[in-house]
Amino acid sequence: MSAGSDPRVVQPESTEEVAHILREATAAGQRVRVGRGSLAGWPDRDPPDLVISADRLTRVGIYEPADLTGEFGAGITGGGLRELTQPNGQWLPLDPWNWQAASLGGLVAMGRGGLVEPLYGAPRDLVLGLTLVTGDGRILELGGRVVKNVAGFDLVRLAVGSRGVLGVITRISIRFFPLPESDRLVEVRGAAPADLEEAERSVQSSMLPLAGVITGTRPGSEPVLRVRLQGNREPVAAQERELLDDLGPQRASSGPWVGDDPSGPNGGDGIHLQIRTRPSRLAEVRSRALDELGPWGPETDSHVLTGRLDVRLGSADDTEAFGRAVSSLRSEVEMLRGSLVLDRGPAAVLAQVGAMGGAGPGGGLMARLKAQLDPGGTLGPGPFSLEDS
Amino acid sequence: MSAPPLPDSIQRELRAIVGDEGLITDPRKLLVYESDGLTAYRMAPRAVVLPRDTEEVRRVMVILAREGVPVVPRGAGTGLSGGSLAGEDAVTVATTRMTRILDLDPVDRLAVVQPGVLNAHLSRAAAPHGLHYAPDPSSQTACTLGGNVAENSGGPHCLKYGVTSRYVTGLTVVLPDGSVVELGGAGRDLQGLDLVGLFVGSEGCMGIATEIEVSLVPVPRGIRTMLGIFDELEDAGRAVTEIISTGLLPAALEIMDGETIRAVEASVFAAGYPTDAGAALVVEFDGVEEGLDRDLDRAEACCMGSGAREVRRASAAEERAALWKGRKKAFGAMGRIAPDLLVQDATVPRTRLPEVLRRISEIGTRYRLRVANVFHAGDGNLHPNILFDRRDAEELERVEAASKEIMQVCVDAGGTITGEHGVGIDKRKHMGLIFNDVVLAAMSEARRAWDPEERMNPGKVLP
Repeated sequence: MSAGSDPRVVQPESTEEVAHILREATAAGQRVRVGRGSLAGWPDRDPPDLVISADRLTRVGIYEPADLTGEFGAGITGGGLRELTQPNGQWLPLDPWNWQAASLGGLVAMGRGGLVEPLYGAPRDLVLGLTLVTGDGRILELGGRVVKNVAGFDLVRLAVGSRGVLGVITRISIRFFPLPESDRLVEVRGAAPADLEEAERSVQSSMLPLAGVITGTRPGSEPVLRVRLQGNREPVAAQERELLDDLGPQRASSGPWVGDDPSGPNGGDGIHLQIRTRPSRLAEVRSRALDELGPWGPETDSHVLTGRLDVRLGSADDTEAFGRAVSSLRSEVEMLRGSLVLDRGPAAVLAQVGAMGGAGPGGGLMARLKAQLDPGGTLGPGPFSLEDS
Repeated sequence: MSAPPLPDSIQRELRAIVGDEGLITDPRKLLVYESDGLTAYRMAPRAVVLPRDTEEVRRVMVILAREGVPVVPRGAGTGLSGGSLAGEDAVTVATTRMTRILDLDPVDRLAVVQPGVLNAHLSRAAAPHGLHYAPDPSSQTACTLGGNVAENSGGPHCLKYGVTSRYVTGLTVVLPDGSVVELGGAGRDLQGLDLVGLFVGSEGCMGIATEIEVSLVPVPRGIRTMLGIFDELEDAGRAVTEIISTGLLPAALEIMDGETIRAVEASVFAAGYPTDAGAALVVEFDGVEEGLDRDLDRAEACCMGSGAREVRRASAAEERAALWKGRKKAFGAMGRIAPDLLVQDATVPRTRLPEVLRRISEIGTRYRLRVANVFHAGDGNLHPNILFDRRDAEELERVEAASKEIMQVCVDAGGTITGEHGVGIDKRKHMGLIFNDVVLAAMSEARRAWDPEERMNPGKVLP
């Protein structure tokens, strides 16, 4: 295939088909990308010859409601999972943006949780097992379908969040939770920056089992701090009362929670930066992000309990200046012992700053693991810098 | 034949790093290290080195790498899989002098500890801040965080809170060649593959964790504990399925069978369990005070509906502590009724518990063996303990045959061979029951990424 032409998209229906495709691609020296990019979209460093989509890997294996576990093809969407689990009073407590349409495989490959991660854990804590087809077409049935399992080295955790560079995830065993009786919102709107940070600190120091906390800033709009409370009615009502007291009844209000995690890119060609830091440094990092990226009108969503900051921008016309701003922000974040990933953005910016910062001294280990699972380099390095830095 | 002692020149080099107190070569003193909590396996190391910090571990590892000496990391030696036994001319690097809590940050709810810090010690240190470290293995007053990381330890309350891997956010690791890598760290988890996740549970086969960053969680404000008494073990298993199906999420669901109850009640850990019962189910809820009593009411209804003859609620903290002491010391109590104990650790889907428990009972009867069950029922994590006397060779053969059959029953039920004790030496032979050769080869490759010479804890985990 000539450079610059659109890659061929294949939609295998089984793990064996995926393995066959990858063996042939490796033998032919082709470059393969995994997934249709609904959760992240890096411009390819080198255009792939082939894109493997999991859209038709939607088989429901074992779903055992009484065990609160299930096994599914990687292509099942968040919406599809909801249709199966909600009638049984259960859910998968991962609620990232675009989850209704995104695939389970994509979510697991990205390691992307959502707002309620503090209460239930991240994808790596909820995935019980998976099938990984390595870059050279070996089929690895990893983990199991029980909630506690320490047999052998944990290649499941290695695969979760590996963003398609080690192999193609075709099947996932996962644990569910009972749907909460009560799902409530406590919010603070329109606070001045200092008040908002004080409210965030108040929530951070709370000893309540909060499901998630997010602060959103939008250009031209007042910032909003939202706290999500989930569980049985009585404890949630008690938490709600206490939070309203702590935050001040005159500035905080409450009501039912509606919708999912509002953070994440809006889809399309927007730009998305994901930043991690310690929760106590989140306000400072957000302030620096708003300063550095101010000319491009950023929207931010701060996950107050986990220290994750999502920054979204519609576009960046002066990509060179934008790249310099991202690079400068990354340096500042890394000085604060955090990390910054360009999850979605223009090719020129990616070329200028890279999707990720250096992997540190673990980069050599990552490179060796990558070489073992994808010896032909069929899957490319994706966004990773897999060398010591 | 025992391995030759370390040459004097190497001993001198090691002593120069760790001091005279930090190197053990006296064969009598080495006997302390010849087994872990699973005493069926015994192998004394060639020497034991006791470094005090990352730099000392690094320097020790450089020397052992230069000499090509296999290395076996060891915490408190409370493991139950023979994972920290040193064979094949290995030297043990024990972390028991690395006992400092290096940082405790109540704002970000993080602690950085050396690997020799005791699990319970960390929770005690965090308590003044209203925090604790959630994974609570039964040996938590003796086991170390480093050992917990190596084994990805669980505990009764991991039903609600999850196991060690959920709480480890960063590691400093000394690799077999003496190089030091810092992996992860709060705020730095976006930088690539989840090496922390791969390292946790690697049973000392990839390196030595010398600093461990963990997250802490708030101490729950309220706790409610109750005990369901059953005539039949299967009924207790059914109650567990009923409680989970009802949508309740207890902090812990633990079962002890009649054999275990009688052992506990005959010991110094007696907690008032009825000795004529077929099983006792400990149910615990925690969280904010409001709603806990309703949860307990619903769980009680599940127990009674599944055939419980009685339900007792712990009305005071002392009563609750006694119930837990009986449960957590159950393994120790069994030492009174048989000289040897083979502890299994398979996990099965919760809904298969009643059936699997019945099959285990049948196997015990068929092989004329006493099997005592004490286990994390909410996770489906079974601990059938076969009681025996190793001096009886014929009984030992029956134990091994029964053990193999029990493992096969659990795997056939959709389970796995170990839920929290690890593979170690003990379950290597069973790895083929759940993984094919392709997966085992991939695991072996993953290990070599860290340890190309396979000098770290050789002979463990992989068959």
